[in-house]
Amino acid sequence: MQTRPTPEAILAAVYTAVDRVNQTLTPERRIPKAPDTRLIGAGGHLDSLGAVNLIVETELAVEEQLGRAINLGDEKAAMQKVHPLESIATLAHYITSLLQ
Amino acid sequence: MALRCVCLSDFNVANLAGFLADLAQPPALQLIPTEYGQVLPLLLDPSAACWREKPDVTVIWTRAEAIAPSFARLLRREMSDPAALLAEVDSFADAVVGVAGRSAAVLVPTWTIPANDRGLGLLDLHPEIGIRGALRRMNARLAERLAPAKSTFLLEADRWLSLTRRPGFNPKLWYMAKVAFDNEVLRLAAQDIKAAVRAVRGEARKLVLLDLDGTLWGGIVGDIGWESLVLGGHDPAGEAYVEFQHRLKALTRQGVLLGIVSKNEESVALDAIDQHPEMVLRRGDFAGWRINWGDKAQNIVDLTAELNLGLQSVVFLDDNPVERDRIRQAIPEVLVPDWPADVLRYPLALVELSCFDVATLSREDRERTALYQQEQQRQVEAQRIGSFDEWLQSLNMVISIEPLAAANLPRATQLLNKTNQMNLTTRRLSDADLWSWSQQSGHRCWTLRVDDRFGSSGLCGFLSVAQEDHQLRIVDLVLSCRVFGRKVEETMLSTAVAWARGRNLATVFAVYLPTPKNKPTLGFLLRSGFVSDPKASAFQWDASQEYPVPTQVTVNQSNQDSSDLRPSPGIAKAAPA
Repeated sequence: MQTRPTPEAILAAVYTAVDRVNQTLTPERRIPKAPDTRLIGAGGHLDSLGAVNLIVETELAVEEQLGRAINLGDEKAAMQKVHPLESIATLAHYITSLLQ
Repeated sequence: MALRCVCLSDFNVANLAGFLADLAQPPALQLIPTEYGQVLPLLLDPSAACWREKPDVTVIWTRAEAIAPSFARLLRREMSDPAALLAEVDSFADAVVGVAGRSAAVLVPTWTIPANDRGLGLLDLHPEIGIRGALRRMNARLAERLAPAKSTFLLEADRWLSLTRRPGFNPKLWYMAKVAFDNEVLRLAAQDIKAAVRAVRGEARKLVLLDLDGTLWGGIVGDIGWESLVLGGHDPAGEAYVEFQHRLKALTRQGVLLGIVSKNEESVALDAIDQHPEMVLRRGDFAGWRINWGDKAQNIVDLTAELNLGLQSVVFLDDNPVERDRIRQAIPEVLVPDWPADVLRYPLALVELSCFDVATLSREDRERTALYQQEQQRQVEAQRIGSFDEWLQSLNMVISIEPLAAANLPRATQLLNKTNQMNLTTRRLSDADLWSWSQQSGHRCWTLRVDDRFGSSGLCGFLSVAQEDHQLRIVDLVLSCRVFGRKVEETMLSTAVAWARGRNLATVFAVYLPTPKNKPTLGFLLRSGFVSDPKASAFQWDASQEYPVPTQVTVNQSNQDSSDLRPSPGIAKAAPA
């Protein structure tokens, strides 16, 4: 049976993804690494390409660091009451729910 | 200010923006946005918005199936005419060649297919139906067609795919955002684009300074003697050191100089270099050395100055992390790569460096170490003879002056872009821009070659002038430090004055634009005989007076130019070929 990753490990994987996405962005557009950083929607840091980048990089980071394959770009993610990409905290929370 | 990069592509390249802007890897490039999928319309429309931005570099990155319908048919496993495939490549190449003058460099990544696509398996290299076979022919054809184009270069994209640890193609990036390559591929692409820009701007590193013990060979020569060094033989580390030396020697054939900065007894270290049977690099392969117990940072500064190079030209390789850190702290201009602890990785670590990439490779580049050694012989001779004039006379210098032409344009551009000390205005131009400038009415450019009894210094001078009413303005006065101070610079002024006199112009003038590095130019102008304004920024010669060719040199003026010159003592026409 797989052990459940800690919230800290999940947040670390998300931050790894944010670091990688930031490399694709010019300095003025980079995303702050903080749980309350808004990602999409009003006041969000990401455009549609940035959102795709974060989905891809988060999936890869979770697989590398936590050994689990997840899908953040499917219909289930889009249908959540609170969109997973609303903020870094909601993204980490959604990943936690997927890994349970 | 960031240089501007326009990228024309049939897929979304917006992710390149951050990698290109990264200041940690100079130069920072600003990506000019264009709509993807508009490659040919943008290539064929010189008035398109992206060209109005006056990009410094153009990247044209396409997928083979988007450019060549015949290749798209092959991907669908349909039959495709090989001749039609190459004709489609030719058509694309023609469009690329057409934009060659719109930026200082045009970079075209080669076509690829994802490494995990097995294609036709056993038949994938088949000459008629194989997909990879077709792709290789397309890339080879593209390389042939682009080779003659000025400042246009292919970038090997397959290398990026093979270096990344992640699959080069990410389906989510493609289907959700039309990004054709994983971000790791884009990161590597940005590195190569920047290396290409540095190469085109003449910013390649020119001098590798090497430690000895633990770097060029295994063991401490002062302790164990050269006979016991780990070098060659049936030993993994010994073989790796030999291979590393071979790779260093190969660098010298592309114009990079080698030097030694080592804490050792000089006689002991040189004895090892001369005597060890497995040494690949011998004393003659090094342009200079500082082998002593002094501070390596000071030794690097001294040796670099002796070789008339700037510290921004230097790469320092040392197995000792403490010494590397010292140099990084003391001389930030010097590139000090992290160096592997495992000697077996040394050869690869060297060839992974992109700092030696150059846009052209001239005969002078290939022979640079020999040129420096000749210079050292001249200096020895100068000390022996004593009198400077006597020594100059003894050199039997012949200066060959030729108009700018296709054959000497690449070296002239290289000289213009690399020379700092003897450079009147330090303007930097691409091949295409320099040629275009030289063709304008009233403009004239010459190159100078210098030969003497020790050998040839190669093409080492560049002079350009522009007629302005009744005056002649010297626009570029550029001379390699290899020959500076040997009356070549006076010969350049003489050439300009003779040209003005041949056109009955009243004066010849030069405006000195100071930079942190071109003070030697000012020093020369102040003692040149040209009359200076009070601020010592403009210098003038009355063209009714001849400016004689120095008596220590013989000038060969090419036939093409000689009709433009009023005969002047010391100027002899070159013998017809």
